[in-house]
Amino acid sequence: MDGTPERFCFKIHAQYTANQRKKVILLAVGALVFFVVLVVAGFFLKERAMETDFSRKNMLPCVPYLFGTDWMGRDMFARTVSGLSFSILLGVCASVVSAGIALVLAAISACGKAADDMAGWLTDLMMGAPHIVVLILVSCALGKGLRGVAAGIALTHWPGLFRILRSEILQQKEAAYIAIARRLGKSRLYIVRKHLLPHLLPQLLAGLTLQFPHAILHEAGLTFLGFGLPPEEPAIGIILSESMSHLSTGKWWLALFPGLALAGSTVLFERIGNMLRTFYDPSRVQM
Amino acid sequence: MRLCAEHISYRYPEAVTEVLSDVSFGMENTEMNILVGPSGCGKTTLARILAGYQKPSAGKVLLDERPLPQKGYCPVQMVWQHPEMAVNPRVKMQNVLDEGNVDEYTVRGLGIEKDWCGRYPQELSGGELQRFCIARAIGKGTRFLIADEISVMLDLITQSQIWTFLLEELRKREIGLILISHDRYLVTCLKQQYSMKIIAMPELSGDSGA
Amino acid sequence: MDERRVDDRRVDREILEIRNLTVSFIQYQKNTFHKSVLPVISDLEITVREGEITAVVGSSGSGKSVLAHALFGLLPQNASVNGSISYLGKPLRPGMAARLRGREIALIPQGVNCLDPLMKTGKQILNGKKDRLSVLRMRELLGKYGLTRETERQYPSELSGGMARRVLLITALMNRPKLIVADEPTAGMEEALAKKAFADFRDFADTENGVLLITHDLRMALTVADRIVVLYAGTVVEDASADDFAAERLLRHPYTKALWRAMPEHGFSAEPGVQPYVSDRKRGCLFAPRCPDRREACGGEIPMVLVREGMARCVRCEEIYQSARQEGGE
Repeated sequence: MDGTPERFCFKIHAQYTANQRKKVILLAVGALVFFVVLVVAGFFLKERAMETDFSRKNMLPCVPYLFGTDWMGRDMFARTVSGLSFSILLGVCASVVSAGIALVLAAISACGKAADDMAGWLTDLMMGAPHIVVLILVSCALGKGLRGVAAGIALTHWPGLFRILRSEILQQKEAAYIAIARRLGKSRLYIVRKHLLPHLLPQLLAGLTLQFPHAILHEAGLTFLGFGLPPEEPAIGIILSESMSHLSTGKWWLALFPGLALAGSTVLFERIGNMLRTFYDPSRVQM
Repeated sequence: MRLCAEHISYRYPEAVTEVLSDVSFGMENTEMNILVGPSGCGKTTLARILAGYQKPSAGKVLLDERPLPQKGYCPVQMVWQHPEMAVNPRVKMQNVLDEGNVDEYTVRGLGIEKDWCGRYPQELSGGELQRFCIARAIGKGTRFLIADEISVMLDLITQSQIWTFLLEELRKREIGLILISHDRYLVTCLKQQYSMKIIAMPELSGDSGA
Repeated sequence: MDERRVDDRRVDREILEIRNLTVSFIQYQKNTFHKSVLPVISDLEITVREGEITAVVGSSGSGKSVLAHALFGLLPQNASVNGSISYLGKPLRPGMAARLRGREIALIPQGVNCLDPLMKTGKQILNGKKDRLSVLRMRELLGKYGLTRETERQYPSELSGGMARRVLLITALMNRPKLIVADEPTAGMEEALAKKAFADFRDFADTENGVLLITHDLRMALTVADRIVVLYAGTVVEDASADDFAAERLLRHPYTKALWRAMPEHGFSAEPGVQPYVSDRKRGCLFAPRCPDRREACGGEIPMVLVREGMARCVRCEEIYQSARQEGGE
């Protein structure tokens, strides 16, 4: 060796990280636009989705009827879109309500030992029984139909998020900076606002987004099982449960496209939620 | 003002042996003391109890014959060894200054630059963070300051900058100091320059008659 | 003794040679798409020779932990590394580095918390190997460092601080490394224990091996190391023999001198100024804003120059060298 080692240079995934932030934001905005369009389209297509025309029944997917038609000659594309749009609206309401419940409960459980025990007990109760059973119970008790489903989903989705928020609060309560703020004579409200919320909000936002696919799937599931929406409503769950009986006769398109659309939207929401979570992770500031 | 610790004992929950047993101690706000003792003898625990961060298992801390206030500004403030843990990672540094109600003079004296206030803690070095933490602890209401190994992680220049300002300031405002340090050289130097008193931790225990 | 060491160095083999090492982090600015490049380490030069303990001394924010991470390929994804690292005269490429790590180059991590609390000590030292030779090697090392076979069966929580630290050292020594990189090995340790740790390092280095010690504690480094590399704001300002710290005039760079003067036993002088944060670093000497004799040339590129058997990065070095020689002659 002549003592002057050759120079080398290596870059680690520089390209990969380069566009990460842009990608997250583009994807989030794109998904949001997509869902808004879906909801609006669903609203306008609702009439068409209910229209029966026996002259065009059981058609395979073709140009005017992208997803084909069913045994009553209804346009499956229109039914799928309006079904999804309905599911999304329901999902938004349900996840906002359950995030609200989770936040309120977490705040209460932060106040003291007894309150925390109560909240913990309530969570165990909710999580102890199979989720779908609780869902059915709640929605039956509240009179089935739209109201029953909405309430059922909103009231049973908070435990997961509540646990995350609660553990975050417990961890923060031990933090030195909070003890210091208290010795500096700061009020409880000040500490919650200045020290706790900056840690909770990102968790809440990500949790809310991740709650969404659950809510949609459960709405579909509940309806599929017949405990949910009335059968004339073009909801994904109803479409799927109705097409079940026609699958064996070879009408595959009746279930395939609505099923794919449902799976696609849930995956999209899941992705956004996970991205938001990493986006706010302080150990990943470089992202 | 007098800070008194009377017959303080402390044991961790579920622990058998006591970290502190029957420790008594008292000082005026014009005094500056250096607390020394072998590691594990409970210096940090005593510091946390004196500043009200921990409750003793037995005994009490008195400030002019009254117990330490649980609410409102505590006249006994403490600066922690690790500044990274003493500031909220999601809150900008300006908030640390606001929290301690720090005046312009202290900010300048500790060499805190305006530009740092708009940053998050991850964007500052340990020495810079510790300046903020010290500024926060010497607000208007502080009568006693407890400094637990506050300069171990800092480089030597930062260490002497901080101590030089802090000790002048404490003397001027008559704030009492309890300094805990392992650094033999630092202790000797501060003791000479500021005529501090050295208190050996084991001598404070009841049986040795303090 | 000083003379001997200087002569030795000429013939000594270089185990690790880091040249012009630059590590940058690519980071987004808050709430924008603008990326900025933060040069955490720039133009770093460090050499570890056989039989030597080299200490890298720097305060927090000087880039010393990034250096350890760069050597062991532990940098996050957004880091880019430039420069050359050579091991025993051969360039150390990323692939080769991965092979050498843990074998010929061993890391002693910062805390004893790095031991797995749920695994028996013996298993951790063996690190998955079960062959007779490895077991014998472990027993030999345990014996050498005054630990009994009892230690093998204990969990880390049953070990004292000093024992746990020796277990970390033994784990590092298992594969007979040539170089040990120790990151703050004595943080939070009592003086007596730290002294024992240093004796172990000395022993290791004396058998034709090298130690790279990364620490913030100059005084500790002085008690154990042969060479002190002073880090300031991500670059080396001075590479000096530990003996040079006996007097201020033997030192070369104004920062090292200020550091020396700030030691409690040397006057505790508090010169103003702070080490600039990564994003505030400009071209030229980063210590210039705090330097008593700064001049125009300080704003330009400053190479490391050889001064009295040591290296320094300062435009005044040549002058300082001259004046020191005159003083020394008097």
